[in-house]
Amino acid sequence: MSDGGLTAHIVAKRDGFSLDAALDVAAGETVALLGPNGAGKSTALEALMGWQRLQSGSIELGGQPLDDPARDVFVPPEAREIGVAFQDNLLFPHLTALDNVAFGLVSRGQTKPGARALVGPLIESLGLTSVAGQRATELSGGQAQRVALARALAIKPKLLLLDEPMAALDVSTRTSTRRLLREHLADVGVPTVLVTHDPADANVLADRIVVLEAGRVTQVGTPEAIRRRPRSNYAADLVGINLLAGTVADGTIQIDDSELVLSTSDRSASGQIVATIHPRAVALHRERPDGSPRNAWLAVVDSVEPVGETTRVQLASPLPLTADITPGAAADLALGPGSQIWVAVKATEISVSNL
Amino acid sequence: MTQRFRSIRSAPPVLVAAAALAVAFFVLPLVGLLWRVPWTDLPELLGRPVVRDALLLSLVSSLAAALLSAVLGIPLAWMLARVQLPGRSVVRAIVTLPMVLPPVVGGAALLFAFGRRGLVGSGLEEATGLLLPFSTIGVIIANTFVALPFLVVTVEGGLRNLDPRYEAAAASLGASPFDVFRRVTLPMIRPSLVAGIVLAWARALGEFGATITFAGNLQGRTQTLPLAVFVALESDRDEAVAMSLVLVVISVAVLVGLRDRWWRT
Repeated sequence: MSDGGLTAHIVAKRDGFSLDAALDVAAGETVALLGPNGAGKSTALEALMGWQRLQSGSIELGGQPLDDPARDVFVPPEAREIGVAFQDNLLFPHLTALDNVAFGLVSRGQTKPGARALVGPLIESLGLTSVAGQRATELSGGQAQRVALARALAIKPKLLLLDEPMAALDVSTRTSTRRLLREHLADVGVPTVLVTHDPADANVLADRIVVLEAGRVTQVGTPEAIRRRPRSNYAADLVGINLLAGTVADGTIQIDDSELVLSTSDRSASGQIVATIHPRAVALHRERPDGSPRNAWLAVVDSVEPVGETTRVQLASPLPLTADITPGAAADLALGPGSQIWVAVKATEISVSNL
Repeated sequence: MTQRFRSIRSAPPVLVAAAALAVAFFVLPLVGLLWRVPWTDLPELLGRPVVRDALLLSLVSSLAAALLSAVLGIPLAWMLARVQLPGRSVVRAIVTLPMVLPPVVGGAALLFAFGRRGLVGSGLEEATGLLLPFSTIGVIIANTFVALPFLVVTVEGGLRNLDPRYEAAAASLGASPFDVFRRVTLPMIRPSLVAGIVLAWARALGEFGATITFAGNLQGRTQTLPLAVFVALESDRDEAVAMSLVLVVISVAVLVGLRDRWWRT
């Protein structure tokens, strides 16, 4: 992976915690680093940034070694050309939004006016022109997050690191920022590592997901592959969430590219939305269920996999959907690839958010 | 918070009395000084050569000491706060020692080090012809000796309160270590920096013991305001009072200037 890709085998120890994780990201690819608190995500980021030295292993970016204890190579942070958008932004409070974005170029020898002019188009494309002159401390959460992203992109980085980019944002800002990120990540063309807890972030933004638990990689794959066969309860919970794109009006969702119409009790969004359904909220029945769930349809089973103490059923037509049921229920229903089954989801179990 | 639950009436009388006594203890000397100020003669008194010399020397030497403290103290504070040095606590103890050391002892120690026959003083005189004791430079050195710890302690406190990840973020943006220090660290600890420099300056301005021991008491060369006040108390009370008033006014101005830092309750 030498065409600008990241090849890393990160072995680091900190406070008795040990991290041993391989992370390969191709140029233009976005890999989500997903894991519970304390799994080693921050340690991995700090190793990539050069804030923390590797104990062994190596980090290579575009064929250049950044850290390789065996060969006695360590490139200090200021020479790594890595753009980082931090979880809490870490914007310099004594500088304006514009000067925060221009900071990296000034560090590279640009004059202040020159750097300001150079970042102009970036400021504009992120919709920050009107706040460019404001101090970092006067910005709203969403604005600060965009300034942080602009600051990371301004140095034309060879690797982009996004540390929980949505964590500090409210729900409405989150969806718009996610859309903005998706647009910009496509243009950047460098390897991008996204650290996040949010399955929606990982599903929408990441090409592949690396699941990190207790300092070890437990699974690597596309969001789709991990949803189908999660290797741990954590992955099952986090990545298995069903996300369906559609249009909502008055609690009625028309799912894109299908005839399916679902009803939801969530009125917090309208228009183009993503509907979220937890796999445990998807009920399977042999007969058409009567009574309360108005959302019921006949589906075809694609696969049945045991995941920890539950059984994960992947449904195909009329739309891909993941259901978690007990092994007992799976046996009772005699599920297997190709079998037909009735699906029911309560309106209260479907939440919608604008994307 | 406490004020909401505790009115003055419920405070034990013994405590109230002792506290009032403490306040009086500070107020009375000030009143005594102001009461003795010969207000009408003040312009004439402050215009006398001995007073003008002392005032000028005090300003020059205290400002120079504050500047020297900043130049030497900020890097030292940074080292103490940011670098894992072996024996760091020993270094910090040595640096802060002048805060508790009697200034006269400090002045004597300076003589043994930088005096004509001192540890490095003799070599310094041979090499450069520079004689520190009983010179204005000696005053500045004595002032710096007592002022520097205040700057180091204040700035180190500011650095410890600064999240080091800001500096790391600047490094990741390509800033060299010195650029990080100049463009991020210093601007972000500005309040502590200002407070440290003002404190050091105020301490240097009031310095007496180390100055008179190391630099002597020569009008126009080493006789600073506090020294002149001490001499004038024996010869001309009004002169002493006028100069004391100048020092009080400056001290009050410093307190008012730093009120945001210390008086916010």
